[in-house]
Amino acid sequence: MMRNDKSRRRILLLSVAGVLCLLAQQVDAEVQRFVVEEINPDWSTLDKIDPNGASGGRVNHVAISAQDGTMYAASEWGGLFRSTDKGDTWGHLPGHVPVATWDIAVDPKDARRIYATSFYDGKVASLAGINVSVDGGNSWFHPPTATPPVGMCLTAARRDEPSAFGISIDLGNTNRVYIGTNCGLAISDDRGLTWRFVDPTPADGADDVWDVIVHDRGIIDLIGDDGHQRSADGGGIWTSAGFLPGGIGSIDFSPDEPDVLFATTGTLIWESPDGGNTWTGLTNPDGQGRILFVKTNQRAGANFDLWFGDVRLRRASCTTPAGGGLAPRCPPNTWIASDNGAHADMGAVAFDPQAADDACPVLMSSDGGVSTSIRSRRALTATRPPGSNRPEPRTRFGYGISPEHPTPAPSTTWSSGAGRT
Amino acid sequence: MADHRSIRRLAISLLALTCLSCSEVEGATLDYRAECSEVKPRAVILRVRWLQSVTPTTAPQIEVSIYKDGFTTGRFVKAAVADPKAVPESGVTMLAAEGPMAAAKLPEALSLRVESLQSVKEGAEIEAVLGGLIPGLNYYVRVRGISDEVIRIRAPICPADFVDTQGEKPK
Repeated sequence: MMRNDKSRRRILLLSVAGVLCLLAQQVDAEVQRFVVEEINPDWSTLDKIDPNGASGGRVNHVAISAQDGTMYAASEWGGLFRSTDKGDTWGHLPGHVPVATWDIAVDPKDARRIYATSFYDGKVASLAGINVSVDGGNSWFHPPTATPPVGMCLTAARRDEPSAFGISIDLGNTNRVYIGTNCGLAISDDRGLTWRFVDPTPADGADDVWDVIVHDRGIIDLIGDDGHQRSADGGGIWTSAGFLPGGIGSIDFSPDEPDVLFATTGTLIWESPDGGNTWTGLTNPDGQGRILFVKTNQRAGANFDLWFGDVRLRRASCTTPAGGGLAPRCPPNTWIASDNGAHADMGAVAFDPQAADDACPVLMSSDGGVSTSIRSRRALTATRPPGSNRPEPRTRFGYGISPEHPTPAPSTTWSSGAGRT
Repeated sequence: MADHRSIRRLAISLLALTCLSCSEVEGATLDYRAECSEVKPRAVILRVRWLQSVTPTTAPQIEVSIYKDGFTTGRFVKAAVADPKAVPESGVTMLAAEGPMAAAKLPEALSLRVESLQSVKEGAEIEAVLGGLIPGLNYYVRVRGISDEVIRIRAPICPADFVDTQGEKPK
């Protein structure tokens, strides 16, 4: 009886909170909004009142093809998934053998060329680390040169137990692909066919490079065990101010200025106005300790957004000053929660790759799997790649659940979704 | 009955989980271990042990930095670990070393405490427990007077959905 009362009280409170949330949205009517829809087939009956009651399994990163709108998801334990219909249906990609996947990226000029990274999976002669597909994810290969040279890594185990992390494709020359690994930075000049390894701090053996970005005619910024490192010559010479602590991290740059960087290390968020020489801390209101990410998104005019995810997905409105300078571009502690109604513990956010400015967030991943923005994805042009003339079988993300057990897929709309575009 | 596929899946999961959350220990003389606190959700603790029988060359002092060159540039914090009785139950705040950090505000990542200092293994070893580490960050640790080795250790990530220990509030 008491439990029933407690449940009723909880439902009532949540209902009131939901109404207040809706009212708050009405007040914000001038701001464009998108509605978030969970697209995990196996959503919990708790979902309508508690999105955290639903779980599709964690998805670490997502990607969208700029050419054909195909979506990809790298799940924590279940391997890779693909959707060719804007997220309505998803199918497991069994050709990718490693299951503890981390990142995935699509060649912006070739929708069939995909890069994926994964953690060591415990196998002898493991295929984990770097994998490449040239057929839209149906089959994958682990290039022999994606194994670091003997003696390069900080420890021998790092070579024998390969892991790879963040992926960046040079938009100015898509032949060049950069991937952070547990043994330095892997660089390919031929779209993933062959790889060479670079250690930005060779004095102590190559270790983790967690994230990398290449931008503005080949500037490489990365973050990892040795903090932030920058190269302006394709990975030959590296510089670092030695200020940013090392560890698990992510990094991105301002779409307006190559020297304005944003990074996370641990649960800390940082901004640099000068290419990494100095860094200022931004407040993380969550501090959960989940793996944080930062991502920038170009807006019209001199504005851009800084997104970060920890427990929640948050956004800050940032401004690029006319004369540059060292002033912070983003407010240190003004975050807009952009995931209302969604499952917590963020993985990543992906924007419409077909838009130049004001690209809308289309996909968001978290411990609850993948969510999509109904409004944003409507604008996305999705054409199924050759050989994929039918929807992917429905399946849920992660934990190795295989697609041979498709389940009915009631999609639910998070009516309180308040992500803004 | 769990079939072999389930067991294999679990084993792989545990293995990968270990890769994400374990601490990288690269040392021999001292015993280091960073782990998730059992009493404080999301908190990381670092256990450092050394043999009681080691004769200190100077008064033992534990020193921690977040910078690879922290000990040569003076960017580290320190605390005396000579006498377990000198560390109260409330712990001891680690202080900036003399040098560039002494006058500046300590970075959040170096706001550390020695939470306990005690004899363990029937008095054979001494264990210092440090708290306040930032999950996911690399820390460089040494115990001056006991060993010259510098250890790099990654503070594990300690996700916890329930942080309100007095109620039922999720996330």
